[in-house]
Amino acid sequence: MKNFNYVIKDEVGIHARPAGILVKEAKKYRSRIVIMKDGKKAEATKLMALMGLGVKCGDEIMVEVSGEDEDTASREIRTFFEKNL
Amino acid sequence: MGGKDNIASAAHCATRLRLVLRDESLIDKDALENVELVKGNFNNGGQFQIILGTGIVNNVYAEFIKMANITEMTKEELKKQAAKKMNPLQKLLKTLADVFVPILPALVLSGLLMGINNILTAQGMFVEGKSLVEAFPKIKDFAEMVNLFSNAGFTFLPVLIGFSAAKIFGGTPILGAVIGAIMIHPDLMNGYGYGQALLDGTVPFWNIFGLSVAKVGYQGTVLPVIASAFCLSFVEKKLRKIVPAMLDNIVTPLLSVLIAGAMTFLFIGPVMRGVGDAMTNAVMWLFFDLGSVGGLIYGVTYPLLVITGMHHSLVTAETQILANIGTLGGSPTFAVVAAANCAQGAAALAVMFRMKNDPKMRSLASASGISSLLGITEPAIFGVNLKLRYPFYGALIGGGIGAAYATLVKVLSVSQGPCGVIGVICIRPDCMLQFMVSMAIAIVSAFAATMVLGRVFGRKEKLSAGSRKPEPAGAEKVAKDIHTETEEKEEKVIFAPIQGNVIPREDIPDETFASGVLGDGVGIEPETGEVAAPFDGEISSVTETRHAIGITGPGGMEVLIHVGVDTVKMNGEGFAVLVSEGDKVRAGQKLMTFDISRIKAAGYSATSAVLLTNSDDYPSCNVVKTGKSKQMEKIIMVEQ
Repeated sequence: MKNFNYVIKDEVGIHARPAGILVKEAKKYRSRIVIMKDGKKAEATKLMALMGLGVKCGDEIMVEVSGEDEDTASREIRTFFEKNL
Repeated sequence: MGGKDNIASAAHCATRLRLVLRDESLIDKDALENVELVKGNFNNGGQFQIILGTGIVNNVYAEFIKMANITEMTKEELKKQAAKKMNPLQKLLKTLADVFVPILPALVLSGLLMGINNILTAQGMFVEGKSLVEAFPKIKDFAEMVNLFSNAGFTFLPVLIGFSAAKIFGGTPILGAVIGAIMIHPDLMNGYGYGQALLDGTVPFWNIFGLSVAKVGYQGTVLPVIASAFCLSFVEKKLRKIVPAMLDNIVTPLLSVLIAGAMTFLFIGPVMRGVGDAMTNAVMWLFFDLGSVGGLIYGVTYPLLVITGMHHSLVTAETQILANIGTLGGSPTFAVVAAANCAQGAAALAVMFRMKNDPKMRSLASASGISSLLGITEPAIFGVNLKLRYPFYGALIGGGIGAAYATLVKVLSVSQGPCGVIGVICIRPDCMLQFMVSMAIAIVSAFAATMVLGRVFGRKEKLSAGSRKPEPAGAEKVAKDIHTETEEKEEKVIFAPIQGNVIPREDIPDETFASGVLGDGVGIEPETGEVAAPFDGEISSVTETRHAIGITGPGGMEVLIHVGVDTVKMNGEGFAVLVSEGDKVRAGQKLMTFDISRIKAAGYSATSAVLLTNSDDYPSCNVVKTGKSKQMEKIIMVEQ
């Protein structure tokens, strides 16, 4: 299992649009990717759950990646966050 | 995959094999990836999906279910696949079965009532030389009432068929019913009297632009109505494409019915008439020139004629034979028809014995089987035997054998009556014993043939009931057919949450929504600032900026209602949410309000997205309404 923390810089947070792209990205990997914020968890492949986290700009999230391709997935997802969120 | 016991169910869409596994940890992903055909795999919504690609997935799926012995969760794609593989006869039979499934309750009811009526009015069954009604005049009116009830379903059968067939062929069902009604209009000569009229030369004609068209009704017929309904639906669909929307409601039904109705009387009528004439001659030839071989042929073909409704024309032949009773001694046709009917009943009863896991089919089989033994075969033929196919073949075999025997020993009838076991009362007294023997032969051989055929071809009923016994190769194709026939595809509805102009997803003025990344759906240009629940469900998320709501509904559908484009930047100003996460809501319940003018004043588009965010999990998601829509109109159908 790999995990990292990230502070959201996007001004609208993980809202519909960014969440949609995140889901698309997360579906590329076989690993289970879970986003956590203030004790709430959401699978990165589930749009509704992600939006339900209510992640806003400046919030810190923890990303947990577990599965056989976790090394790649974790690296790529981090890059994805840096680029998009 | 962890062996076949680990597979709960399987289905496939255009590119992916979709599996529900009992324990996903048993999957050997490395081995899976080493398979050349596998382009990828992932887990989504409880389904383990293996990406294979178009074309390949079908073949893999076919092999897969053969190996794993499962046929559950067959999807629309499979139905089409199965339909493509069928030959024209199979397609015709499938269409007939599809058309008849919704009508069956009416047929079974009418058949049983007719049986009761036969018992009440049959001469000499319980009382020497008299029917029950004659022996007990008090029940006369009751018998008449029963007779009327039992007739209604068959007399107006074309209306029911027209409705059902138009629906199957994609036309407007109610127009199909109109076509059916036209074909049995009381001003036309009754189709039941046609045989006699043909004999007497009293068939009425219309003169339409120089063509003489027989003014004959189609009471109790099947194929002509289906043909007409097909014609209607075909014309209607073509017209809908050409006729401008403004005139559509006036012009399309008018022209469709006019054209289809005219075609019915101009083409189907004469064909039926010609066939009727030819059949009378054929019947005479079969019996008087061919003997028991003729009986065999007649016994086998009779049920086929019932399917087409042309058996009514045979009354002509029988009437003619009975008219010459002095020289011929009686009609040989009666026993043959009774044998064929009993065989259908026996086949249906055999189904009842086989289908131990399907109570619905069992009850249908028993009711229609008994009705057949009393002489009314339509429920058994359409409801059970044709639907499963193998019992129909079994019935043909049994009917043929029984009929051949009856003709061989020359069982002759002296009057017309119920063509079943109780028809014995219409038989010449010296032939009665042989008549019963013929019936017994027909029943036993049809029953046995059906059981044997069922063992060879009919594993499906057990499979569809969920058991996983090994099956012979080739059986699963049949199994799929049955599966698709018995299970209506399930669709769930998403209602319009907002009143306004519904536009295709691609036209939403926002790249993300339009691209479909967030799922399939529609856009709505709102007219009022009110959002209602698009189905019964649970609120799964409400954004803090109050402009978007997620709701989970029937079948796990997750719908995102996002009001306006870029309205997240309004920080909730002008929006009010009336529910909170986890709330259970009813379809139509008000969820939020928003101020259209404030959205526009802030410089954003008020066009709202209604998206099924997990549309990938469903075989299809069809927008059924665009343009101006009221709140809670059906806008999207989702196949489950």
